[in-house]
Amino acid sequence: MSRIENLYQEKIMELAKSSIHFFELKTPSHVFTAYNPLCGDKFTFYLLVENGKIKEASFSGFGCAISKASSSLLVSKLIDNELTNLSMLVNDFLITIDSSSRGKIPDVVYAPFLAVREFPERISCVTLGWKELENQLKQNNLS
Amino acid sequence: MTYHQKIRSDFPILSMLTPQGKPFIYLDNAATTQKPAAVLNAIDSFYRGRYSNVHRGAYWPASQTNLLFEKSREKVAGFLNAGNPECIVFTAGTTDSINKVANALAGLLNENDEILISEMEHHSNLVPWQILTKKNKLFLSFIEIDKYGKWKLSEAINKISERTKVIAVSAISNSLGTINDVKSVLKSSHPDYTITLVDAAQSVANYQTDVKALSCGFLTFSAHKMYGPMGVGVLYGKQNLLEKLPPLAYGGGMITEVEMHSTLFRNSPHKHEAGTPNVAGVIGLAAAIDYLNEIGWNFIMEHNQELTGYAMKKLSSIQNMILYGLAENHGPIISFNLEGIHPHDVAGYLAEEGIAIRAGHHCTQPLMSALNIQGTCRISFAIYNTKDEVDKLVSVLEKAEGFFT
Repeated sequence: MSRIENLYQEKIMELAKSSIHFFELKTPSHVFTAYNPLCGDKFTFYLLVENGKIKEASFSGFGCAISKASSSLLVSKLIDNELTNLSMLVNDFLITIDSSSRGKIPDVVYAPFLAVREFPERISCVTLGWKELENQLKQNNLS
Repeated sequence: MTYHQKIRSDFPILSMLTPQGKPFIYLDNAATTQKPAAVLNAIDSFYRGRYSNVHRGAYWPASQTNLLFEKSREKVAGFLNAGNPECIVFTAGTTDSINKVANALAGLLNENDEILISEMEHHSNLVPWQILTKKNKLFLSFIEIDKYGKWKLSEAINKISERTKVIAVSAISNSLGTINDVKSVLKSSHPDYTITLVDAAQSVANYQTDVKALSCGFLTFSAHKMYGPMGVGVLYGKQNLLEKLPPLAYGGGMITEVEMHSTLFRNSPHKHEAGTPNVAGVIGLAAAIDYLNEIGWNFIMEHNQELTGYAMKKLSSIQNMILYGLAENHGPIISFNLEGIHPHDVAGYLAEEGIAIRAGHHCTQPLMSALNIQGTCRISFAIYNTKDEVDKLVSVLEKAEGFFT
């Protein structure tokens, strides 16, 4: 497999092209936008939270295959999750993606994204939505 | 060795391979150009064998440095057909120049005065004017663009009135490559009450610049986009304007007499050059001008036209290719998208094959909004690019299309 095939693995292309989570929720309780001003990629995330649990989640916007796939992955991890789990979820993902990290992968669905460690200029693509979620948590916007 | 092969051999980086073992095909010249050995050597020999500060030093090699610095100013004046070297102010680059002019104009503009720019300006020729507009309660107006990426010229000329106190426009669009009809717009302004500024960042390496023919008040460019070093640029200004403008910055080198509570300033251009200038940068810029003159404008313009025309034709043969900016007067910059594929994915794919292009909004977000797109892939040529490189680009783009769809 070439470096580029390793970066754009089948699973990533599948997620990037999938519309399963790619829509606007009609009545979200929480909305936040992840934006990379350097490249212009922008995704808005929609969450419907009830009793501390994310009942529904989705996203919409514009970004490259990597950022779209990783945002879709994020939404899939948010659905049915508890708000109290989100800090750990984001941390685990960001540590896994970090190029110096060599620990056990906390979730096999993260595996297709690990090739990005070899492409430092694409790290910001894969972490776009996740970093904004981290920011929202720090600001206590998700409670 | 052909003349063009000789030019390529002047640029050490072009013989290098990328970490993936691919020949380096550099098509991001609108961002910055590579450096010829002549420029690298000029900077190197200054630092190694003649290094000192300018002004004030009464020893070897300071006197030589001073001479070299002022000779470089003369060279820039000749390069722009400015005539008088005192019209040349050295800055850190285009962005620095525009910011400084905008700041200095704050004291000369009044409420309700109007600044006219165009929709396609680089953020560096937009944001400083936005800030000034808010600060001085001015109006900011825009020359709109048509579907070919050209200014709507008659509309633009109609917008110019006695209220228009500043016109600041780019000679070539950094995103679309359109060569703007700057001369017509500037000619329609009134020299007594309109201050004009031309952002020549994208034109200066590709077309001969003539400030007298343009009849502009100010013109600015960066050395690094014309084979010179980073961190240095030029602000040309008509002498009366430079004298009228308050100093662009304050400090050493720009004063005649300083007392505890008051200071007298030197004349232009020195009153605008506070602090130690980027002497090595200026020397590198002078070497870049020598290099361009040696290559010759006939060669440069013919090369650009031929390569841009060839690339446009080859690119338009690719399926699902969308080209932006189809003005007949076109500089060596081409923006495009492959339908359904994000520009960063295209750029990432090309990078693996050793091909460097730029993807994104190119610091022109309002232009991207006007075109109703988020970003483009942009290729931009320099004197060292070849048709073979265009062929390689096209074949890898075709592969990318298959890969992503």
